Amino acid sequence: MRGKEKKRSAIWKETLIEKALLASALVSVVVVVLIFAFLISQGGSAFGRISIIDFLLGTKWEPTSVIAPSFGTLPLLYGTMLVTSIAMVVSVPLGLMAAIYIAEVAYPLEKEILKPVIELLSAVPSVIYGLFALVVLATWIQQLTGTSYRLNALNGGVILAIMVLPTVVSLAEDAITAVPREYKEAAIALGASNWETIRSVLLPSASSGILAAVFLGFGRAVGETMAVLMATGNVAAIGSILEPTRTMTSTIAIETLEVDFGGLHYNTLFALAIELFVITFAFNYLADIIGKRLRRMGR
Amino acid sequence: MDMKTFAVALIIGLLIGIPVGYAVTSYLLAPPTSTSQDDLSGNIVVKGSDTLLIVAQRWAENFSDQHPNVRIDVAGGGSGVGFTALKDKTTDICDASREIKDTEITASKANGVNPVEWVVGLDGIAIIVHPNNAVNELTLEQLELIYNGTYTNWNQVGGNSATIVKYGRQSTSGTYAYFREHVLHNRDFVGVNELAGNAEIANSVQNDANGIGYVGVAYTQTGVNVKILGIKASASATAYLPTVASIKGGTYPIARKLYIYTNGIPSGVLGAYVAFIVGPQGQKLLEDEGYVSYVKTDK
Amino acid sequence: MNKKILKQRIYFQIFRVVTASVIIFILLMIGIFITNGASAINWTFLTDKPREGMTQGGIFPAIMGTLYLTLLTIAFAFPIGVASAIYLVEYAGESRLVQVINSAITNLAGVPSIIHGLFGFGLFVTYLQFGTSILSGALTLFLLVLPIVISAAREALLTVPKSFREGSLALGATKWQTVRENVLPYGLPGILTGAILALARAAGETAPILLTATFFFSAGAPAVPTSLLDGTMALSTHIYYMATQHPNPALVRSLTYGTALVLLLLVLSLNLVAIVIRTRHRRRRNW
Repeated sequence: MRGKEKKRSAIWKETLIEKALLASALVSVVVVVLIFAFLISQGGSAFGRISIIDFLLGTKWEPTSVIAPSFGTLPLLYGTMLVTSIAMVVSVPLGLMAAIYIAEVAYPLEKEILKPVIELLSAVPSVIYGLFALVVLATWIQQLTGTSYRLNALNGGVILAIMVLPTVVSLAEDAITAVPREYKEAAIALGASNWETIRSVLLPSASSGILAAVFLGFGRAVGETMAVLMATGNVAAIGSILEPTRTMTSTIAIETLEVDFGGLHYNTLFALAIELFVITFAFNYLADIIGKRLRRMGR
Repeated sequence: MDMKTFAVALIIGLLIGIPVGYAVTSYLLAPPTSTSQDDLSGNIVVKGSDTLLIVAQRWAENFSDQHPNVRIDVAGGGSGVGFTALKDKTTDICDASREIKDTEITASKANGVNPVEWVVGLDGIAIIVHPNNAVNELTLEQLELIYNGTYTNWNQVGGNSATIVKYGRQSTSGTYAYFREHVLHNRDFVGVNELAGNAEIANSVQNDANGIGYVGVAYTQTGVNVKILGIKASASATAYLPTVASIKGGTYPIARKLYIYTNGIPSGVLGAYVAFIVGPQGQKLLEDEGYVSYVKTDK
Repeated sequence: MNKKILKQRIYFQIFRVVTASVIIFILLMIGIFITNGASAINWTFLTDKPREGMTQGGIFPAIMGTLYLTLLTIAFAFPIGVASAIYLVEYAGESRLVQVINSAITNLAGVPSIIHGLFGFGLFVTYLQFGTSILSGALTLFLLVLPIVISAAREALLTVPKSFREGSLALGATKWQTVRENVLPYGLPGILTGAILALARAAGETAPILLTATFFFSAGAPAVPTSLLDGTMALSTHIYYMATQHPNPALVRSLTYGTALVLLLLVLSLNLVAIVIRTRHRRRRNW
């Protein structure tokens, strides 16, 4: 009898542990659902009082205007896209070159040093990049371009490029290294030089992975807050590269603390957050799909 | 135990031990706190105006040096932040560089909060430009036309031909609200770089030959190299610089009162703190920071 | 033939220069922080509170604030994260539920930090009335770093060979005994790496705690939080405040750089430790 009881309590204990572990795992689900629900409920109730078209396409963001509060988010979307595009235009070519170098050209010793260094660089906190952009980079850009605006979209774009580079480099490098060796060996056996192999065989094969890297970098850049908050000048208007701009993320950061819990401005910020999240989600999702396609092929 | 376990244990030990050791050492080495019999203790939270932020910090630093058992937390964000926090009961004191609005009074009362106003000082809004700017004075009307976008070139107000680069506060700021109400007559700002603090504005104008900004006069003291413009109420009036005399005497056209708000008449620690602020010690600290005392004591 | 090789050499040199430039630029950036900030760092800076309108004194409350926030965050995230990973690797099958969990983790990882901050402000600070406090901040950061802990732990457990588990089960051990004795110890370095990386991430984040936990200035003899519902200063937000909200940022520039340097050293050394643990473990293990 004793043995059977012991066994039953042992099984009980096992089941309990399994259930506890399951509960922990379910925390993630609960949390995500909570975040989505909160965003949608608080943000959705804004659309009872303002129209979606006005929200998405309106060109004036003046939520605290005494006369005519307006909640047009187009300038903010423009700001986010402008700054992110500048960042990608700068970081993708540079990142790709660095990735090719690390994957195919660098000596093993160089590789051993470069990879951890790049990983460390991605760990630098964003507020530090922001401080750098505010104090040093803005001056360099102002001297280089002679613009009268010290804080502008270019400043934000460049610092964002620097922040996104490690992501692009390491993911692109992973994609290139993931190409099966046989492809490379076949090309070389047929007499191709290193560069020809890279250009005609490796890069095309790794293209999905590289594209995924770009999309992920884009998603990260869109979601970045502190650096652009300190670097772009925070004017909610549609202007040129050398003029100040404001991103969706900065708007949320600046205005959240001021709002009335439950008021229209509060709800609109949540709606803005939904818009922001849809964009980052789209890019992350695309990157994921492309990455899966890569995994299904190559190996 | 083997090498690996030892290494892991060492790392965990360091990760816990270093912060704990640091905290303990710092407490032990900290200068002795006041040994006087002090029964004032408690927590005070202060939120609100960025214009008052540095004075609020000085008040907190000074008061808690005298009463070490009182903990005071100070945050900025803008007068709007303070009023919302007061209403939501997430702050004890609201710093404000503008008067409370009727809507805010109603909302507070609806939430069971009774805002009580205390005038704690006077502030001039200084209009600053780069030291090399040819312009020395402006009328109120010119100032209005600059900030509502009508004038876009310095030569329209007597300066050299150059685009006017405007700097200002973000919408949560009482300074922003005051300026919009009293200088722009409730019309909206056009094309202004919205910066998150008085300090940023002063800093930007200092580095921008074509910049103009409005800041609390305290932010033009020590260390910032800008030119303060004389302001004339009308084209034929005398231009005044924001000085203690002109602000107190009412001749400087853009001067305003500074306030703190509490929920009801405070008692206990909070009451002592408010008494400190409006009393001679608090007012001296206010004046040291470049503001003007409102309290007519012996001056 | 020679033209091909020449072209290749040129391209490769360009790539080398680009890679080097990127690294050099960022090292230059860090160098600027070191040269401007090192002068501010001394024992007083690290142990004193800010004085004279924050133009003198030190950043002790900010350092302690960051420590409290990150340790509290990890206290939440480590147990739940590791437990989740254990469940997903050791117990779960390929059921629908598991797909949902995995999808939730991926989605959580993709949420921008400012949205975490907004959510934290709406739920913890305002709705649950925790106010601006380290509790609100830690709960918000917990949501942010949870995916990091889970991913690292999951990877660590996956590298443990199946045979370890099978051997243990074959000898009659229960599932939990197997996990506890034959799998976890070998996954521990990887799990630890994840925890340290999460710690570093939490320490460096600004936006989430800006909205939920921090103040511009905290005064009082213990200028550090004494209860979970106290607000705090923190290194990351201190940099932001000193650069943008202080009345005279130029005057306190070296203090700002000093704070940035302290944060940078903290975060980079944590990451370095994590990388070292991971590399040595990879080299040492013999399976």
